[in-house]
Amino acid sequence: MTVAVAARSGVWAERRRRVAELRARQGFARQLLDFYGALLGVQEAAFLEAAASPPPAADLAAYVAETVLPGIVDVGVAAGPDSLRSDLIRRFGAFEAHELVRGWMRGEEQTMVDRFLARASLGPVLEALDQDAKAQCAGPRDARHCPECGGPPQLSFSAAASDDLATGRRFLVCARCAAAWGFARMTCAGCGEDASARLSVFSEHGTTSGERGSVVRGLPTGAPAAAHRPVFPHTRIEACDTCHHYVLSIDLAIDPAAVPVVDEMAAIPLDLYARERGYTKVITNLMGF
Amino acid sequence: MGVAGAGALAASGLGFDDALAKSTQIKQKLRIEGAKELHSVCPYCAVGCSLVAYTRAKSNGTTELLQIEGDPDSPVNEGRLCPKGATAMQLAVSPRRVESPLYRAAGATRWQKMSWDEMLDKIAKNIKSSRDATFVTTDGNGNTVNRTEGIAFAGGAAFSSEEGYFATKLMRGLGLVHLEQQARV
Repeated sequence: MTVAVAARSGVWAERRRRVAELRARQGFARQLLDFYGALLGVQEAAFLEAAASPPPAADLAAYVAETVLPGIVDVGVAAGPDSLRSDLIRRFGAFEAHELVRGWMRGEEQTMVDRFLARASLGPVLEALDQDAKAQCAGPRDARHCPECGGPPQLSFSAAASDDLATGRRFLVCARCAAAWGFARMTCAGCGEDASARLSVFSEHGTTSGERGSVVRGLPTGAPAAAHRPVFPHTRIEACDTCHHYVLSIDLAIDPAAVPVVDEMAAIPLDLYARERGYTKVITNLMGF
Repeated sequence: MGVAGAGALAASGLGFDDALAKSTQIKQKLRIEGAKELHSVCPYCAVGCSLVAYTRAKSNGTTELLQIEGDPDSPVNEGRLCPKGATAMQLAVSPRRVESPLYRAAGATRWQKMSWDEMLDKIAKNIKSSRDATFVTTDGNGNTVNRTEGIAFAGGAAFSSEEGYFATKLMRGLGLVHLEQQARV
């Protein structure tokens, strides 16, 4: 294993840590987090295996279908919600595994379950591999898509800055390979709209500095009154009134312990709120929210 | 990848009905409010740092300022602000902000509020009296100079080019020699 891969492999421990934290803090998402926690073991093993013995780029779909997908199916049957479990059992042995993975790599329309299987299987392998493997995936390489694999943005996050008086850059995270790339702060991740009047931010009351009693964004204030303690102090909805899409955005300056991929997955109430307002997520996450 | 098609959200994702039901209850308790992000520029010095201002339209028709921070996409400040700029929100919300002209007469111990009209009249009178008292028509060598030595002018950093031009013309017209501009700092 190279040093670079060893460093990157730390993301799995980070994701497990965050799953445990959010599981304790956000009981409403426990069902989902328990399942994701079970998936992480298979995904980490797939990541390490692919990093140690990278498959030929041209054989990526077959490699994923044969070596990773069966383990994902097993976790789905063992720990998935009833609906997923019964679907997997009903279709046992009838998966077109190669086509299923290829479909996700091509960006084709898929059923929720097929997309889940393909994403959960391909994701950790792509995270482990280099540009040649990611180049096998279809999709535009523009500002609103992953520069490495062409995947759509799953979420947005603001990096923590080096000091309290600075604001960190905004990044988008790829739904396919989890790569992050810099993106303009006040621009829609779905369509590129940058007119302020067309872009809305929805956040819980008490999450802006003015509401927290501070005039400086980065400086902490006293604990808010219990009645106004937000559930998602570091997560907000970034919506566009031109394309009616949204992404959830995680602010690492407010919660440096957050792991954007995990926090986004657990913020189901914000997804429900955005849907209620008529917005659609740029792409649903691994769990279908 | 079809963005719109990909966004079709099944009611319970992959069947997480328990998480969905509990999240629905949580969602109903959340106090979520919408805001807009707007570009602005720090008013304090000549660097011209870019700001992002969060505002919310209130039901009474006014706009509430929620937060000001550095714009991370600006090539000028890359999200950074100085301590003064980082508190720019106080310009709008501080209860200690002075909202009208205050005047303290010579020897007085208290400030008194004044209207802008009264204050501008007073400033104009003071300029006139100072200029009349200190105006120099010729220097020690008999050269005609027509200058006002008893008044100095300091321009603010947020001056536009046009304001700076206007201020310079006005002050030179009054005969001022001592002009300074914070933008040079």
